[in-house]
Amino acid sequence: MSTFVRFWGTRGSIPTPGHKTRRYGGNTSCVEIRIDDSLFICDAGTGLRELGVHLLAREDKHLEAHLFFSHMHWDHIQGFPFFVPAYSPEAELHVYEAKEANERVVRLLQAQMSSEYFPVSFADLKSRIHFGAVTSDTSVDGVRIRAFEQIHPGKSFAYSFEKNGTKVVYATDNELDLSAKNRDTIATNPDERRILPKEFVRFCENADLLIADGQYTESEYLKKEGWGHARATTVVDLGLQSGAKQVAVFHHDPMHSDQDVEDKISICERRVIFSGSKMVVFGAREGMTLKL
Amino acid sequence: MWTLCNADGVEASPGARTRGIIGDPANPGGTDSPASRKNGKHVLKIGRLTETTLSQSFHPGRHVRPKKKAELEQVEGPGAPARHILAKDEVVVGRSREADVQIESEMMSRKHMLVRRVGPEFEYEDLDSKFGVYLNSVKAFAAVLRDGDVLQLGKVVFIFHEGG
Repeated sequence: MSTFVRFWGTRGSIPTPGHKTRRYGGNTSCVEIRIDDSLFICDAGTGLRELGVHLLAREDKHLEAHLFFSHMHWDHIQGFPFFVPAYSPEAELHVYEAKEANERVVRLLQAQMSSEYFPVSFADLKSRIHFGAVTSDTSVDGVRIRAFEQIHPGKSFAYSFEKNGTKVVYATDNELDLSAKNRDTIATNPDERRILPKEFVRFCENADLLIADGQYTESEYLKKEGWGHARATTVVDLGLQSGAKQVAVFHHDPMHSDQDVEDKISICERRVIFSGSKMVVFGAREGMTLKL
Repeated sequence: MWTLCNADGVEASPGARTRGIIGDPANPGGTDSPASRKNGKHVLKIGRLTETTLSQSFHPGRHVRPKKKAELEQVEGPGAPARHILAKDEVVVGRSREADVQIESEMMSRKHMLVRRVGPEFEYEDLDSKFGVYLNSVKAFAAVLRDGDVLQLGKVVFIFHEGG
């Protein structure tokens, strides 16, 4: 069995091209997960455009992909109208949302391609597009897929992909800090380990790779509480409590340069070292592929 | 007095836009120089260069100075320090004699890593090596390389330089 994960977009909120963001990239959320011959795509931020070009060059004529949306904010859907395989009659796309999202994905993908926003209508896409919902027993080509509701304005969902003991969790746009049981004491002592809800820790348990929203530093978060994103250090605590092997800090702040991201990751690494764990923590980087 | 003319010596109309390079100032009026005297006037021939041909002649990107080539600077392992210029579109690093960058080192596979040029950038791919490739201390199968990235293959460490 083989599992590959490639980051096509790691930026949060809005694309940030330019020399200050070359290393970690400026495209918004899009992650490719390839488990054996099955292709799963998490979110359709602007990174999806490049993935589409890549797929057309690399794949056989018939392309089948399973696309999962964490939620429908701009930075997670903007790449879809530019996803070239969606225009190909040879392509088959399975588009998923969590069951609790109540067909929000269908409605908003169509709405973003209405003529007021985009010149091509959703109805003109030539690929075969199927809509589905992730339930407690969803399985695709032997890969078990589960969804978990997160804390974000308007709701968002995390997804886990698991096959033969290998597990990838994609959990972006989640204000994990609001769910910490010891929020009050963390406010006075940021070094204190955050106690996170058992249900979510269990959802992420023993991930070979946990990709999680860690947009803010400690000081930034204090000014942006309620905006729907987590402190990178809280994501480290999630990884430690859930027994993740590797944590990819994701959804970098659009104001962060490469150096800022590296400084943020250094703080995360120190937190791991102080905990005595050997967990690997790194900044998710556009163009990087991991083999699990 | 200086007058601007085209290559046929026709004087430019008043107010005409006349951007361009106008001869060798060290040799005004020389045989091949566009600068000469006509009816007692100094004349600068600007040839048939119009705005259109000028913009074609000086198209952005055509006149870039040759750049320094990208390279892998080997800072650890047998043979270090060494610089390996990435002169080919595909460069294989490994123990094998067939490797473009051959390094005899334990924990180095025969063909360990491929560095490939993709347009103006370079990316690497692990060739299913036994011990993997570490990018800035993270085991990564492949990545687009950026200036200053550190690649570790067993006991061999490289720093990637983009060149330019």
